[in-house]
Amino acid sequence: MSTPYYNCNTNHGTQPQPVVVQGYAVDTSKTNGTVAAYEPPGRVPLHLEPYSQLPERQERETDAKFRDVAWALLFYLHLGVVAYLTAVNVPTMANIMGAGYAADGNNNQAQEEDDRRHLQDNDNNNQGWNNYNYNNNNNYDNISVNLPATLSMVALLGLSGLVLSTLALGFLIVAAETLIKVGIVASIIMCLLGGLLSLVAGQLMGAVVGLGMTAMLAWYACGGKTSVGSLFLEMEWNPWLPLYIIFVLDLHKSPVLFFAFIKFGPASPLPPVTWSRPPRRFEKI
Amino acid sequence: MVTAATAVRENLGLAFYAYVSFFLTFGWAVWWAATAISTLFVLGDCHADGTCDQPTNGLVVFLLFVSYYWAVQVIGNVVHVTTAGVTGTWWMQPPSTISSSSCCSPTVRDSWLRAMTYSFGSICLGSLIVAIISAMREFVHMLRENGDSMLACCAECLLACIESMAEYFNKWAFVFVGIYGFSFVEAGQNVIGLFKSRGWTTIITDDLCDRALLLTSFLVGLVNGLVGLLLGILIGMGEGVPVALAALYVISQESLLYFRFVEEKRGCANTILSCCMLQNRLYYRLILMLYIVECRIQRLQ
Repeated sequence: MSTPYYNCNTNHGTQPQPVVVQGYAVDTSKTNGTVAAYEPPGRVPLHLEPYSQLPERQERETDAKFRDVAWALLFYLHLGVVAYLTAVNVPTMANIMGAGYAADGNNNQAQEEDDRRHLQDNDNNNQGWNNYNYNNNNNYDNISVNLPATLSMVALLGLSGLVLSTLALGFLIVAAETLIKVGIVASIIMCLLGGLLSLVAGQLMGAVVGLGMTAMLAWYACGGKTSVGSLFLEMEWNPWLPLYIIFVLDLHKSPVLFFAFIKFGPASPLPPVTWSRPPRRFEKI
Repeated sequence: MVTAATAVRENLGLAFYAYVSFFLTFGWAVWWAATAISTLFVLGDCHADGTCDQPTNGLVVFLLFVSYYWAVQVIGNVVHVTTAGVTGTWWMQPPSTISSSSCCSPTVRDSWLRAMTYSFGSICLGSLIVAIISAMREFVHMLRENGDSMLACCAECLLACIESMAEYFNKWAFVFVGIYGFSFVEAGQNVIGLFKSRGWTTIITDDLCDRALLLTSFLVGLVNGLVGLLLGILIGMGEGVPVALAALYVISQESLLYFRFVEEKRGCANTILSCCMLQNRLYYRLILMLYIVECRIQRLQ
């Protein structure tokens, strides 16, 4: 197994081991090996020690060869099976469906007559669907779709989506830091909104979680402004503490929260779904 | 993330692969749906009216789910490994020595070829692990729809957690695959070693990137949804609530679509973090982390 850089022992060599990318040694004379070359101007450079002062890396150059070949073959085999199933089953299903629809067309009229007689019987007995009248021209069967307009809209939205995505990528590149900041602020706002909404809805657990996360995120965002925050920064790990906690909560998506909401959620569960309306083929008078 | 953005800017050819992967995923979903529906139809001796003589075979359904998720994961991870390879090369070599601004540049093309050849088996193996977990979760979800129980609910939640963790682990493992061409097992061992030796701070940094990317995704979806709303009103497709609901649907779908696209950028961030941590000693990692914290907090002031 290849040993990466971070497993290096205490041997400090004077010459660095070759940098290897995908099994190919990179020409270290042309290598930056630093973050500094890509830092925007005006920043504190994150320049690192020259290579001669780095610990010896014991990485072995990996050979450019196929890895885990059996799994690749299995994947291709699986695609072959899917293709076979498509070729065999789709025509079979199409034939059955086609034959079924052809036969069904002959039976439809008789079925509708049965429905009409059944409805009239119920009307006469003042039972069942007595407040409803059979009407084949109900709203559900008469949904009209403006197909050209729909297709035009889909095409335009697809085009605008492509343009917007490209613009947004440029925006991401230009304003990456701003987005991170806005992302944190947006998280605070969302947590606050979630907490307040839960509070209004009477869900205590949701309110506690939402407001608690708001407080933690706000503390994190404001930590650097105070001397205490600076001290935390110097201690290196403390500023991350809130996010560690958030991560643990987040890791979840989350059995704990989910269970808590089920257990302590709405006091009265939703009523069971009951059949409170007639079939769609019957329209209220 | 700033460095990742620079990497993307100097390797814009990667965007081509991100777009292609999206269309591939869509095409695969259509193909798989046709196959799955027809297979279940035939195996169940179903009729045109929807009634079936045979019960649905659970094993077949499970395998179909595995098939779907496996291919989806493979398509996405090929892009991820390609990104890792390109970004790794970019990191190790100054931009003047390489050129990868077009989709067919040697750096991007070679990285993609390595992902599709030497590393493809590793990608398939890692993707299969996640696919099996995803299929199990989907299967349990189906069981819950037929008859819910607390046990099934807990099982689904547990599987969802395992799925998230496996996806997260894979994300880092594929960075090693992309940079070094390791096998998946070797890459996994290296990820564990990386986390042990460098701590979990990386996760937090990565999480911040995700927040920014998700925000951008939402903004793109929001703008496109509003465009849809205006178009709907102008074309006269409807009024009021229906069009607004349609616009909301577009917003959510666009957000997901764009988030898929910017995952490429997240791959860059992961690779850069890995390179930084691998290449430098702990002291420099601390400097980097403090620097990131400082920059972010100063900007918030």
